[in-house]
Amino acid sequence: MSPLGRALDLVLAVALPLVAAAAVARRGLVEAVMLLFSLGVLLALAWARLGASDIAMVEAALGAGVTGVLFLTALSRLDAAAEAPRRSPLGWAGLSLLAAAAVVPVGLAVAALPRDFAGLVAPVLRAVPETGATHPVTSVLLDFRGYDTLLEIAVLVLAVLGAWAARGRGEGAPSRAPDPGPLLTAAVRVVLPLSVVMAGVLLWIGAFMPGGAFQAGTVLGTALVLGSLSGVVRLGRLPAWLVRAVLALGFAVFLVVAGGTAASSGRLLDYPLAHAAGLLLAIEAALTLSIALVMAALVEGRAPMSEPAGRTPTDEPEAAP
Amino acid sequence: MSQPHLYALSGVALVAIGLLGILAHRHLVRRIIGLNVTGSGVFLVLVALAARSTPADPVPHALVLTGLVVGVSATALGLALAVRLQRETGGPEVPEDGEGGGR
Repeated sequence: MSPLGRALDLVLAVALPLVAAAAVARRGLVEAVMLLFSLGVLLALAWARLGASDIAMVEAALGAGVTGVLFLTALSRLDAAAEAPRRSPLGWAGLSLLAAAAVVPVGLAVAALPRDFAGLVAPVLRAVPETGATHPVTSVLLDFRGYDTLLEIAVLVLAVLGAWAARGRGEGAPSRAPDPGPLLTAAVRVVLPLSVVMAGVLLWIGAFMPGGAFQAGTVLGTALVLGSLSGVVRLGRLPAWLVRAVLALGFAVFLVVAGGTAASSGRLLDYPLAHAAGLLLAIEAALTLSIALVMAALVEGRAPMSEPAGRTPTDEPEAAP
Repeated sequence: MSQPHLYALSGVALVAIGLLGILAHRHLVRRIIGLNVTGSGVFLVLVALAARSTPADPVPHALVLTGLVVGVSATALGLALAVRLQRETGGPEVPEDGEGGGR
C-alpha cells in the first residue's frame, strides 16, 4: 500500500470518531446536522478506501445528501426554541463510561480477529455464474440473499406509510425557499438530466460491475429531492395514484417474481438460469424507481392528496416559467 | 495495524459515540443523530472486516448496501414521529414517567 494511502487511512480513521463526537456533543442542532453531513462525506471516502465502491456511491447520495435534508426539513418544522433539558457534565461523564464499557469488549474482540480471513468469498464467487449477474454484490443482493432484499423493500414502503400517517393531513405544505435564485435553478436544470442518465447507467452496469438498483435509486432519488427543493420538480403535481403505484412497484414486481419462481421451481427466488438476467434487470428497474420515489416521498413527508380541492393555497403550483 | 483493523476500530469508536448520544440526550432529534452514528459504526465494522480478503467479501457489502437505505428510511420515520410528538406535547423529548406526560 502506498504511504499516501496509508496516511489517508490514518486521517480518516481518526477523523471519523472526532466528527461523530462533535455531531453528538454540539449544542446547536443545525451545526450537529452539518457535522452529520460531513460524517457522510468522510464515510463515503472510507468505503472507497475499503474497496466498497457500491457502498461509497450510496453513501455519497444518502449520508452526504438525503439524510441531512431530512434532518433540516424536520428542524424547520420543529419549534427551534424548544430544548430538552440537558444533562450535567457529571451525567455525561458517567454515561460516557457506560458507553465505553459496553463497547470496549467489542473493540478488544475486533482487535483480536485474524489479519486475513477469506469469509464467504470463495463460495460466492463459485456460485455467481448460477445467477443472472456477474458482479458478486448484485448476485448476493438479488439472488443469494434475495429474500432479505425483498423484505427490505417492504420496510421502505412501510416507512413511507408510517411517515405519512405521523404527518397526518392537518399540516400544510412545507415552507419552501421563496425563490431558489437563477444560479440554483440553472444548476439543477443541468444536474437533473445528468442524474437521470447516471441512474440509468448505474442500473444497467449493476449486473457486471459496481452499481445496481440501490445506487441508481438513491442517485435518482437525490436528484428528485434536489429538484423538488429548488422548485423545478413538483411531485405534488403528479396524480396521487401514480405516486402510490410507483412506490409499491418495486415490492410488487419483486413479489410477483418470487411467487412465480416459487410456483415453477418450488423455491422462492430461485431464478431459472435462462431468464435470470432479464428477471434481475426487471426487478432492479422496478426497485430503482421505487427507491427513488421512496427517498423523495420521505423528504416531502406528506401523503399525496387525491382531490385538488383539499390542497392548501400555498401548495397550488404556479405556472412554470 | 492493518487497514481493516484500523477502520474496524474506528467503527467501534463510532458505535460508542453514537450510543453516548442516544443515552445522554433527551431531545429526540439528537437521539436520532446518535442512532445514525451508531449505525454508521456498525456498517464500518462490517465492511472493514470484509476487507480482510482479496477481493473483499461481497456478502457484508450487500448487507450494508441495503442497510444504508433502510437506515435512511428509519431516520425519516423517526423524524416524522418526533415532529408529531412535539405537535402533540409541545416538547421535543419523550416525557419521562411521572412527568405529567402520561395522560
